[in-house]
Amino acid sequence: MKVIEVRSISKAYGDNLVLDEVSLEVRRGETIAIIGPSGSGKSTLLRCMNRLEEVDSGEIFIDGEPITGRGGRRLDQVRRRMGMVFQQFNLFPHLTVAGNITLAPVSLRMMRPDAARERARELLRQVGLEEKLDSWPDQLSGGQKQRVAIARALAMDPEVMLFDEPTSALDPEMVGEVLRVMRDLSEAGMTMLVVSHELAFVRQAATRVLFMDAGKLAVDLPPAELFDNPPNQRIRDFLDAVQQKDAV
Amino acid sequence: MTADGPHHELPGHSVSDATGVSRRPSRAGAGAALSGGAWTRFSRSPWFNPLVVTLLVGAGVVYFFMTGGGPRARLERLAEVYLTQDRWRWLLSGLGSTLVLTLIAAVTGVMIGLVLSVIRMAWRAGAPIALLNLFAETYVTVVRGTPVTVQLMIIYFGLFADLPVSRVLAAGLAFGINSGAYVAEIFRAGIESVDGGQMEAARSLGLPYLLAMRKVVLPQAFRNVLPTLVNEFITLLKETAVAGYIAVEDLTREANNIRTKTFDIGPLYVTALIYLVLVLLLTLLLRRVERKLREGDRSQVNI
Ligand SMILES: Nc1ncnc2c1ncn2[C@@H]1O[C@H](COP(=O)(O)OP(=O)(O)OP(=O)(O)O)[C@@H](O)[C@H]1O
Ligand SMILES: [Mg+2]
Repeated sequence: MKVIEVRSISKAYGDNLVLDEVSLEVRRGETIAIIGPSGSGKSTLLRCMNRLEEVDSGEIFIDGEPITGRGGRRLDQVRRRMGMVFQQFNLFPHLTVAGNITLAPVSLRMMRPDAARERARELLRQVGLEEKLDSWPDQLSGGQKQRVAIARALAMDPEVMLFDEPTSALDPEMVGEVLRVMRDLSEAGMTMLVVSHELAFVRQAATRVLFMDAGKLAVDLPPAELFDNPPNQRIRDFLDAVQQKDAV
Repeated sequence: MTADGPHHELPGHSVSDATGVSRRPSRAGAGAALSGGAWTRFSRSPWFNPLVVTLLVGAGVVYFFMTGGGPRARLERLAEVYLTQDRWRWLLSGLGSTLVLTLIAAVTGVMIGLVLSVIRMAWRAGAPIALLNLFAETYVTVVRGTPVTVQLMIIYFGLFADLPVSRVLAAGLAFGINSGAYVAEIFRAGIESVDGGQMEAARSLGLPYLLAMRKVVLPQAFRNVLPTLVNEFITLLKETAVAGYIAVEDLTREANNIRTKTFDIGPLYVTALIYLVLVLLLTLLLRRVERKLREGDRSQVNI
């Protein structure tokens, strides 16, 4: 069943065409990895999906409802159905971990404070950080921050989770703990779009891999196929470069 | 060092500098070699200024009693100036008015500044509020481009002329309206100092713009501009001295009342001293705030 349908969206910054007629369907429970060179439009694609950026043309549907253009659903409603995890975590430094997680559900009056706190505890258990409920963000390591950020996004019960390079700001020894949480989430059936160059994770968790190149979706293949048998030289070079970077 | 810019000499400069907004031209870079011995350290302590002031005032008092006929004649004169008609109470009630005035102005100014700055930021973020934004910009330009005394008189004799508003309240609101323009600039810089990822994270959770502003961005912006804000209050306190133009019996005006009755300018010195003490107290508060903030910053660095 289709959760998201992206129909031929384009987006330019000035003369720079960043998304060029991108189309995509995401079925429920899929984990889609997005890879590609820097500047190819991966972040922009995710940001257009939850409308942190507006598309210039094309349409996006969630459960068949248009979220872009005229007649699109209200912005905040759209965003509540999609959780987003950022490279820089973006935890709120003036709130505790519990405060970070409960802020949206409580201030949008979707949950009472005590219920939200219990839910926060539950989500923290899920990401392995239950004891950090009352810690402050600046007391956490990078990996812990990112796991809290994931819990925070999950607190809105999103249908889809968007991850934009969630581990690339982390020290290497912390990458694993975050990827483990993401893999659990994926196995539990969450629909996920993940921009990540952690190829081992992609191979293991992704149902499909999209290769973006200069604003176009160049390839859309299951990971095993793509990695074992890269369809062209450009992708082979890219994968080699990523693996080399991992090796050092 | 002046009371307007004490934070500029803090090494590793404070957050308030980062905002780049200061009502008076800053004297940044004036202080600051980190090296130095006991004297340098002492001269940087928060008690240095109060101490110097106390010594100077003490010397002044000694000089006062040793001249003009000696201590006895001086004491008699003091009794005549301050005790007749209980005139010392005039100063006290004047001080009360000045404090109430400043408080009303500070609160009004912060509220106006908050609204104006959010309007301008929301406009910049793409909200369809061209007219509101035009109003906010015009407000800031006009208020900052005209003397506060003229504003005070226009507001009191013009806008409030037929309203049953007490002079102190009217003056408080007038100074608040004035201060609001400066506070708006302070807050705008503060909001800009908060990382853009904060707003994006809040919006991605589905918070509407204003709610995200209130719950996520403003608390952090406020923390960043606290020192600058205390500076604004210091300026405000001193500026209220012109409230006498609309016959508010504030500290300055009461001192002048005593002067006209007694032909003695002593009360003006006393008044100057009272302002100075108030400003120094606020400066101490400012130092405290800055120290707290720096400690906070440090704990953020050492994860
Ligand atoms: N707000 C913006 N204004 C102007 N240009 C932008 C903006 N955001 C992104 N771009 C440009 O759009 C292009 C695609 O950016 P995007 O961030 O989507 O790439 P990416 O694939 O995520 O790259 P990376 O791997 O470096 O994160 C880049 O050329 C970038 O410079
Ligand atoms: Mg990116």
